Formats: sequence, structure tokens, C-alpha cells
Amino acid sequence: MLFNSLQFAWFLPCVFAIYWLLRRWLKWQNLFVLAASYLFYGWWDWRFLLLIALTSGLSYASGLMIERRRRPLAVMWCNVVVNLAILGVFKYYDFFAQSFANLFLGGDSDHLLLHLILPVGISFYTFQALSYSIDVYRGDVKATRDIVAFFAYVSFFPQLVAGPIERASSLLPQFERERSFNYDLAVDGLRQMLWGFFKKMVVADTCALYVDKVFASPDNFGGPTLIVAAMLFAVQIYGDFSGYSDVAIGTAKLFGIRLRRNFNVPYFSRDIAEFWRRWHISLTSWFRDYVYIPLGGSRVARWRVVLNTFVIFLLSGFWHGANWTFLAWGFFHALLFLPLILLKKNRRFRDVVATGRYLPTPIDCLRMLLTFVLVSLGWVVFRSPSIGFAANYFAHLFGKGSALIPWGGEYTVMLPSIVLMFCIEWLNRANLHEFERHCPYRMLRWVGYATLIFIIVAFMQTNEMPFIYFQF
Amino acid sequence: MIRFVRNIALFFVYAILFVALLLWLLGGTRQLRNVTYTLGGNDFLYTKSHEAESIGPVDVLFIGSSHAYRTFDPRVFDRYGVSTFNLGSSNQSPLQSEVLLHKLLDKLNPRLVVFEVHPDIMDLDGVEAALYQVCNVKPSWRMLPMVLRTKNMKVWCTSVYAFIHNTISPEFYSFVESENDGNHYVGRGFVEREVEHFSPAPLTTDTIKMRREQLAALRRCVGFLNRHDTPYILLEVPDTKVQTSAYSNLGEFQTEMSKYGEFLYLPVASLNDSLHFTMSLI
Repeated sequence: MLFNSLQFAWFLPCVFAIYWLLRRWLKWQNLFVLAASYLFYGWWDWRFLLLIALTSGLSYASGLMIERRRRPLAVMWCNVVVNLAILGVFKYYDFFAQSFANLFLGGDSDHLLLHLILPVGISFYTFQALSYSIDVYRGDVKATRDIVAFFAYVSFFPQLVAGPIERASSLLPQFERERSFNYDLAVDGLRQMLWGFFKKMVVADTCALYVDKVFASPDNFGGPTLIVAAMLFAVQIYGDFSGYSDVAIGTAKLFGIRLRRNFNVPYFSRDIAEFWRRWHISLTSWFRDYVYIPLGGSRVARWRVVLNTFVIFLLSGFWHGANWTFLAWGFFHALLFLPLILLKKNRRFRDVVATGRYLPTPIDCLRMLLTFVLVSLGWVVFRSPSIGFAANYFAHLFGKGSALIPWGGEYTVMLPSIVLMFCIEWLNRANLHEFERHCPYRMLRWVGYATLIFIIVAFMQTNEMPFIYFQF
Repeated sequence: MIRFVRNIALFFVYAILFVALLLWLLGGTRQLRNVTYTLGGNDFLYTKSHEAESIGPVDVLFIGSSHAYRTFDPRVFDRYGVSTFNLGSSNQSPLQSEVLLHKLLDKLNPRLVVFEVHPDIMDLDGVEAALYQVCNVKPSWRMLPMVLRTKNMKVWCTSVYAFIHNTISPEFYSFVESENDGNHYVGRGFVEREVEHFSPAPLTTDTIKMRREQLAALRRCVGFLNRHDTPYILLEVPDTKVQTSAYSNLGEFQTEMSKYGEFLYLPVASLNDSLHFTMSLI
């Protein structure tokens, strides 16, 4: 079930109503959340429910065994390996088999490939389940005995298929205690959902029209068009993924549950290090806490710092999918990040840009622009189906060809909506989310919300546009 | 919680009115992607739907897609003393036929309804025809179920604009549809087009798919006719050989159609695919 579908428009109010009717019976309420989440997930393919149940069951059992101190390290590793093996088979097996066949069998891979369908959200919920058993092993959280609460934690439908990747320490306790309806939190959730839908259904989906056309045949277009398409893809993927995250976090607030922030105005970053503190925060911090720091982080010899940086970025790239382009994307970002960490300048910009001012300084503007351009170049590799395609795209960046003007017709709303999005986010850059309440007058707020709804219904795509990150 | 539900309900009503107002105010600028208001077209639905309101009872009513409105010429039936009206329109699927039947059956009061059914039409989502119908047929609440069933934002937005615009704008009532793209309106729903040389191109074989919502709409249509005590037949009009042979399960389609009432299929063997046979399809 997609957030931007009619099914979800029916599903959410029904689940919301029943959920709060059960507020006095925590066990039943959690059981209902679990059932609703499995219904939400099973809408795609009910067979994959077995997989998520298996992942949840393994992590739940491993947590209990670790806490009983029965070979805790072995149990923890066993859970990590089994879960990663499941992920590996579904997500990476065909990639490695194909690569092996290309190297040693002359490309003949028919008998090696499994052609398995990638279960939606497997990378997200696997990482969430893994973090639990690791945290229990480290003693950061206590193993839960409440199996329903744990299964609900792994499969909570707002963040099940594309995050934010939650930690047991913050989400699990919320399932273990009674929740009361909080008016302000629920209204804030609706506001955040509205903003997320705008980013996804207007900004991202409109950019997609342009980007898809250009990426379908980059040879036909001139350099300026390719540059515009690269930048618009940067906007598209941000609108798409951060839009999803806003809807997810907003939906969770309706149920009295707070999820962690996943994006924090990443395109207002002044260098790559700041960008990575603001982009897909839940994944970045996952790799930081469970891979980078255990490897020694930046407090080791220089060659180890270099190695750790490459490991973390390559893993992060590979997490996105089984393709050399994702590895190349990770490698590219590692190259951009490395000078900052070696010169110990990776923590130079910790506050949001232009704190206490309305406008940034000219030098900040230049820094943000440069960061955006570099990130956009990386997105070209990310968006390309192959390394060869990306190389060809870059080769044509300064070439001649026809131009596709991003204005008029189906693109009418594209530039105004991008400007509106960045203006609103600039005004809210220091807030907890990008569409926090500003105006004290309810009537004006309602006019603003209704205008946003109008823009969505008048300009949204009528064909189903899935979220980009669902494929990961 | 009560405050939340009350405020949400209030905002919901407010937002609907606000969005409807903006759709009406800005829909005419043609800048809104999901408002595609077009008055008039090849099938003269505007003209024929207005004519049908005043023409009075007829012997036979034809209804269906372009196969219907280009096939049944009222002048031919006149020769045999049978008065007819043709309510066929481009891409019209049972979803849209249902609206027209509810709106016009009493006025036309036919002794027989010929309901044209075609394999391709049963696989349509009905969006294009719905857009066309909401723009060209007089506004009526009877369209609301059809509009909602399309589950398409473009149809919803265009319907809001068309409903308000067509209700209050004198332009809608004074519109005169002119000949376009070689299509000439003969009267009583029939649209004539000059005969063209037809060169059939081979088609790849495909399976006929029948959408659940179209079958349900067809069931409601025949139910309505039954309640109205109006005899009807379902008819598959002659098609080109090249088209007919491209269906791998035509028999299955015809068996399905025969479940909804008396079903007639005119065989294609006698038609010449190579000369002066104008494909009037869709």
C-alpha cells in the first residue's frame, strides 16, 4: 500500500479510529498495530510477511538469549549473520552471481540466477531488527519479553518500508507503555504529512517527468539540459524521500508515537560532512554507530581513518542496491569526505546555516551551491543504470544537442513548487521539522493548508508514482 | 479527541469548498494539470446529449462507444419507418452509458435499447470518456457516482470545474459544435465521416481483459433497463478481420456478454478489409 494511494486514504482513518478506541487495553492496541502493519505490508505480497515475521522472531529470540548470557556474542553474531544472509540472498545474490558469471563464465549466468523479487523495505526492517540485538548485547537496551510489542516495533507500518530506521531504545519503549492522545502532536503530524505529500506528489513527481525524459536518452540532449536534469534529480530524490519520511513521521504522530528525524534541510549544507549529518540521518547514524565507531572511527591511525571512511561510504552505497553505480556513488562521496576528515574539518558546520539571521552570507551561499553541485554530480551516478551510462552522461555534459525547457505545459508547476519548498524549508530550517506552525492565526493557517491541498490535487500525477526508496 | 475530530471535520469541509473555489477560478486558465475542460469533439456528444433532451420518444436507442455512433445511421432506419437515436460517444464504456441511461432514458422512452459492447472498451479505465462526458453533458448529480468510480484526480478536478462552470456559464448553453476533423453531425446522434481507404496493419494477438468495474457497470445498466421494463439487446458490431483475429479469447468475451442478456454478434466474414472500410474505432 502506498501512502499516496486511495487505499491508504481509507486505511489510515480506520486504523486511527480503532487504535484509539483500544487505548485502555495496551496489549490489544499493540496487537492491532501489528495486524494493521501486516495488512499494510501484505498489500504488496502477503508471502513476504513470512520473511518479516522470521526476521522479527530471530531478533526477539536472540535478544532474550543474549540477556540470559548464554554465549551472548555468538548469539548476537548468529542473528546478524542470518539476517544479513536473508537480505543478501534476496537483494544481492543475483548481482554477485551475474558478476561471477561475467568474470569466469563469459556472461552465461542463466543457471546461476535466482530472479527473486526484492521484498519491499527489507533493507530497512532488517537493519532495525539488527540494531536491537546489537543494542541488547551492548547493554544499551534491555531485551523485551513482550513479543507483540517487539513485532510491532519491527513492523510499525508508517516506517516499515522506507524508514526512518528506528532504534529499539527510542521506539520499543513507546510500544511498552500506554499512550494517550495528544492533540497538538496529532495536529503537528497532519501538518507534517501534508508537507510530505506536497514534496512527493508535486515537487518530486513533477521533476520526475523531466528527469525521466532526459535520462531515457541523454545522447539526444545538450549539456545545459543534462545539467538541469542532474540538479532536478537532486531535488526529486530529496522531495521523494524526505516527503516519504515526513508522511511516515507525521502518521506516527497521529498514533502518539515519535519517530526520529530523517532529513534536516540537507541542501542547506555548507560541506559534504554537514550534508551527511542532514541526509538520511537514520541510516547514516546506523552505519556510524554499528560500523564506523566499532572500526575505530576517526580516532585511529590515518590509514585506518581512510580505510574506515571508504568502508562506511561503500557500505552505505551498496546498501542502496546491488549495482556498481551505488558503489561508485559511495566511493565518490568518500573522496569528497576524506579531505575534511583528514584535515579535521568535518565538524566545522554543526549549527544550521545563518543561525539568528534571515539570509546567509555570500560565502555561505557559495558553499551551499558548491555542495549542491557536488551532490548533484553524485546523484547522476546514483540514477544511472550502469557505470557506462553515467560516464556517457558526464561526457555529454558539455556537448551540444536539443534543449528541454523546464517550463510550461506539464512543467508549469515545477519551478514555482521547488522555490516554494526551499523557501518554506529555509524559514523552518532551525525547527524540528520543515513545516512547523508559524502563524498564530488559525484562519490564515487554514488558508495556507488548503492552498497546499489545492496545489496537490490540481497538479499531482494521476498515475501511481511509487517512492524511489521503496526499491531499496 | 473530540476537539480533534471536530476540527478535522470542519477543516475537511472548509478545504473542499476552498479547493472547489480555486479550481473554478483557475480552471479556465488551462494552467492546472488536472483540469482538462474541453467542450465539443469528434463524437458531438455535446450536441447529441442536448438534442436527446428534446427529441421525444424513439423506437430504438443505440448506446455505446464510437463503434455505435459511427455504425447506426438513423437515415437508414427511417426508410423502414423506425425512429432511432444514437447516444454513442468516443470511448464510452458502461460506466458512462449508465449515466446517459439514467439521464435520458425517460425522455427518449425507447421501445428497444441496443447496447453496443466491444472487447477493447471493457478493458478501459473510463477516464478519457468520463472527462469528455463531464465537460459536454449538462451537469447532473447523477454523474457523481461515475466520477467517483474512476478514482482519478484529473476526472475529479475537471468535474468540479465543469459542474460549476457549466451550471452558471451562459457559454455552455450557447455553444455550437462545428464540423471538425472531417466529422459531420448528421442528426439524432449519428456522426458521418468521409469514407477513407483502409489499409489494415497486422496486429499482435492479445487477450481480451474485462475490468471488474466495467462488468459491474454493465450489470447495473441492464438492471436499470430491466427495472424500467425496456427491452434491450447487447450487440458486438462488425469489426475488421485483422482486429477480430487479434483476440485470442473472443469466445470467452462473447460467453461473458451473453450472461447479461440477449447478445448478438454480427459475423465479420462478409466485410471487406481492404477497400473503403473505415475503422471507426475509439
